[in-house]
Amino acid sequence: MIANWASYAGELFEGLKITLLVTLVASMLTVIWASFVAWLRLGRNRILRGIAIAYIELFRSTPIIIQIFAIFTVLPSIGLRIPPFESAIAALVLNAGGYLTENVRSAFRSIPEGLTEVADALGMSPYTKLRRVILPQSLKVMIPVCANTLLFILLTTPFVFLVGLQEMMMKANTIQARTGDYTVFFLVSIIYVVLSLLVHLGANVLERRTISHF
Amino acid sequence: MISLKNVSKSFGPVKVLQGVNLEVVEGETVAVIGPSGGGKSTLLRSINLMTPPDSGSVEVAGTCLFRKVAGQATVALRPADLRLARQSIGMVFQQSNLFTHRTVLENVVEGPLQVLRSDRAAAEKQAHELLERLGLGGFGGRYPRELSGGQQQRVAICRALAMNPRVMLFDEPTSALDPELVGEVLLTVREIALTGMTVIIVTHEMSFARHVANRVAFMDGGRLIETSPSATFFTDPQTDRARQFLAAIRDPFGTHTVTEGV
Amino acid sequence: MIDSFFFWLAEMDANFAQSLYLFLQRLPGALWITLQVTLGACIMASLLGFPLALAERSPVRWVSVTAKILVGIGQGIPLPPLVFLIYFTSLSLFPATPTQAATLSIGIFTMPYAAAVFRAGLRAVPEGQIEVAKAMGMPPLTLIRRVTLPISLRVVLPSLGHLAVVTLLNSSFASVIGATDITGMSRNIINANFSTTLWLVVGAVYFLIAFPVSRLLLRIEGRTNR
Repeated sequence: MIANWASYAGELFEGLKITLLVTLVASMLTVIWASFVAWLRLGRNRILRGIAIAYIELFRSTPIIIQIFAIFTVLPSIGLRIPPFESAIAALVLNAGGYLTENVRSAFRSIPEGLTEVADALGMSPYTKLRRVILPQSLKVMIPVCANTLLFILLTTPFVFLVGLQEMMMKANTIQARTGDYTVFFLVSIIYVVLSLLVHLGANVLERRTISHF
Repeated sequence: MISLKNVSKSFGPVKVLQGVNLEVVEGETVAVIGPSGGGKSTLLRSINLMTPPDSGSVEVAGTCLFRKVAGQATVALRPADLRLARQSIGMVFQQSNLFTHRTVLENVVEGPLQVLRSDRAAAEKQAHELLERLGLGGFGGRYPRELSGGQQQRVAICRALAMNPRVMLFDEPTSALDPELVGEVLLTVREIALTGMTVIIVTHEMSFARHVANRVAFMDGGRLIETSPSATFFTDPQTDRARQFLAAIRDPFGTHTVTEGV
Repeated sequence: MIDSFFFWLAEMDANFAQSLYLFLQRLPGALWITLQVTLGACIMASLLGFPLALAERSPVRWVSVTAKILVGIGQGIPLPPLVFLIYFTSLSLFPATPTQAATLSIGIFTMPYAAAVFRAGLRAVPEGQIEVAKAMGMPPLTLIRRVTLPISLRVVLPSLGHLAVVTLLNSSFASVIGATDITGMSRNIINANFSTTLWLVVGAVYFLIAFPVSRLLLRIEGRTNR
């Protein structure tokens, strides 16, 4: 098993690089997109709010596979051609946005109002208040949101092999088809476990840092 | 009725009970008082083995529930026997801990029906009588969340009494309550004490200890420092530690010097 | 407006009408397979997840630590590699049909999430109520039946419902290993007729199951929380 793994480690590593690239790009776009949808969702405009809710419910109530196929095959049939990488990113962002908008919304709600009141009561200047109270608080609530997004996207990226993107899952498929060694999927699972563990650890460290840093 | 001999208990390095001896006769009411963290609750919980001691012996109503003493046969009840023993020891906690998903009446009949396997009609009749006696007639159909904290605690007392216990243990039954609700619960406890029930109550309410209890057990640092009749404990404590404690309670601001019998 | 959009798509897609006909004809059978995979996986996840949640609360340290590590690892594995791994492994052990292999692998995938649901349910039972029951000498099984279950089921049942909806959506991955569930059946039709527009109809079918169920669950939760 180990000998086999060593023989195609390089190939998997190529895929891993693309997996990580897709995960990072899609995560950043998702945080922005989810914040935007959360803003629409909380806004005053009824129509925009309705569109935001419809989008969230639609993407939460359909399988990601169908979303990927719809984006990858339906759009080209009406004349919109999108390459695999962009299709993959679009599918991931749209899918994750449906799940994580709520997350962003409750995170911003969790900023305690009492703290800004304390800052006012202490007579802090607006700049000091921003630097010492508002920014650290917002960062503190955004770190778990970003970590969640990263994890969510990371665990969804292996689905995008369906559009033919040469990421790790696709490489594993190719390797299995060529060599018949399906333990490659075990190796891929281990790599994912390690990656999600790293995201967890990173988030924990960052969270502790921001509390003490400012 | 209750006999604790040389009971000791440690939580890790902390010795919460150090060789405590306490005898309580039938019909007696004993108030356990003392500073927080002195081992009062642990002492109470060792009587029905909710917190089993490390060593010593525990005897309730003539039955040895626990014995681990050098040179004597060790007694450790099997789970079924322990449950049987607990049926005759009622306990009321700091929180009422009522079953939130059941009505007041269902709470009171839960023990008789599910543990004692009594007849439903008889259990409900007894429950109604108990609720009536404790001033809760007409509350049977309500849910705990619809009751005040004091009422909840009185229902918890009813629930414990419904098991027809030989002994009642109260673990700070009023310390989670708003001040104006303390009285109704203490009056209820007094009424139970006056029926001849054997009662041990851990409490911070000194007037209750003074006027209702027959004896006061003063604990500090895991030791039973002093056990005196309540009439003399408050006027003439026998130990310095008890004197200091009483002085601190009466005169927290230290405007008077500490003297006997203030 | 939506109607005209569909007509426009249908014009683009000459085979749409025929594909839709085939789709509707095969839908009942495919729906049955989808439900088999979904419910089978949920039941399996619950049967494995409940003991895991109990083990997480075990006073024996190595038991609770092992359970927590298992749940942690499980929540770090994505569905696709796990399904392939279990599919090929089960093929090497016994002649598994794609539906069986999919049920098995999606069940194992869902297990740690089910364990989290049960963990929350067990945690919802106030410690004090258990203590009272013990103090009155209630036997362990009676305690579970009369105190633990009634309280934790109120938390667990709606959450299991939400998990079932997610599993329904995940069950579409069964198509990738060849199961003819809704997604697999549609994919066959679409590949044969080049009628990609049908994906929108397939999406609508999932939506029409998942959305009402989620809504119903939210309403039930609202009632019990009050």
